[in-house]
Amino acid sequence: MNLYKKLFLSLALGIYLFVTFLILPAKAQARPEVYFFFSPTCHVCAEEKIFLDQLAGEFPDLIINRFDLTRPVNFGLLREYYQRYEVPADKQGSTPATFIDLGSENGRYFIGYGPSLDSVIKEYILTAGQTDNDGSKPFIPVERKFSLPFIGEVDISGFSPLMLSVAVGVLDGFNACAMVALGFLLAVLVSSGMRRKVFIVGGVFILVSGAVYYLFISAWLNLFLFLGYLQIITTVISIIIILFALFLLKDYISGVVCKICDVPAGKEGFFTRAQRKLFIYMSRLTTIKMSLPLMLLGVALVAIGINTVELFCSFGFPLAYTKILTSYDLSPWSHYFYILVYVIFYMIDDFIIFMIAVATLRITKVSDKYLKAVSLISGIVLLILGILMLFRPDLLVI
Amino acid sequence: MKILKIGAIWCPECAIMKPRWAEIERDMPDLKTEYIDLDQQPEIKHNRNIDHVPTFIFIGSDDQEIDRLKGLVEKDDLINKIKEHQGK
Repeated sequence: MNLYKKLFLSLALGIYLFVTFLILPAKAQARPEVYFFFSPTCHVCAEEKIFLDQLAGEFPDLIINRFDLTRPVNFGLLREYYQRYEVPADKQGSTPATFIDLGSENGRYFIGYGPSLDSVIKEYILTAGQTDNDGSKPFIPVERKFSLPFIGEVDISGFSPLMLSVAVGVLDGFNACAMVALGFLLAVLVSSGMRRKVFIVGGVFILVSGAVYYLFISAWLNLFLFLGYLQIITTVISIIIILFALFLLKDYISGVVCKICDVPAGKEGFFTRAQRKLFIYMSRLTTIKMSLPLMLLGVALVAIGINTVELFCSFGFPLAYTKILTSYDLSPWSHYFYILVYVIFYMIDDFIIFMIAVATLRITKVSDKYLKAVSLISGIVLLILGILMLFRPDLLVI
Repeated sequence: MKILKIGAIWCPECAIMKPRWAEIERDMPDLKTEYIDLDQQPEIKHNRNIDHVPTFIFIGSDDQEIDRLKGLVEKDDLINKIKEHQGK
């Protein structure tokens, strides 16, 4: 190593040590500082921003440093703060993350945000950390418990995006619309008695249905990533979800399962007519003689049509899911990964019915009793999700 | 007793019910059933007061309706209903 390099390294080390051990502590001792790490797409972060703005007004001495986590450089800084404040690994990765530095190794971190945190943070700054007798850096978890009638207290802390994707995906999968469409195709195919045909044609239908659903949810996701930080969007979506849930419950009470199977006295609507036409096409496609590739192409096109129309019948869960997913601080790729998990679990029940049909050439015991129970459960869960999104969105994200 | 099975080609629940009925008819060769397509015989809508397909109407020997079932019905429930009304 030549002399210049040695000199340069020594100088760099010197500056580093000087800054680390002399300047930073001196600065920290001078005025309390808040280090606020946020994601622009997270509405909980937006709420904390408002609180911090108020806090800055109340404490003119307080320095608030804001770090947008969509900038890679701030990610590195966040990791440093995790280390400095000894944040446990399972609490890392969630936004917002707030670190309060009162100087002299006196600090505290908060992961997540809820209105209950306002007074805690204020008191901590007011008393200069004296509320913590041991001077340690405790973690204050945001209250993630809520009471439900008949069920009692529910603790949803640790509700990870993976769990969210699996749970909501499975629930959404049991919707009557998707089940009835697949049941129709399988019933027509099974009557041919050809197992290979059931497998190939049914398989193409399931794959195309999954792909259409994936694209649909991805489109929602991008819309929410783009506009989701606006509080009005969250409010409007929550209200739509609550209304959708109420419609599901109304259907349950009035015993409606298959809407297109109703024979109304008046004229049918556009969607009902489109659905009926698509079912007729599918029935014809799979029963007339034609080459397999042509049949598969036709089935794929009809599957796109049926699924597109049915999205209007089952948009409640994907809407709630994508909105909640955008509240997590995730990289773009992990969003798409979780959507894939969602769609796989959404399709799982269809896949089971399909495999049983292939193996036994029979349709399982799907009945209106079962579909009615599904619409009741879906309605209740969606109603809870919608109400939480509207009044306590902080409960839905770590 | 005779059972009228009212359905339509565009109705998914009718398609799902078809193989269930085929099994029952195979197991009970004496059972009298008749399939009526709603689009081919639209008058049935008013004559039999149909508001949903599929609808299965149990008709007695006096040509009067004894009972009816609608929508997706499990095979066992259908058999129980048939046994209940057999001989009427």
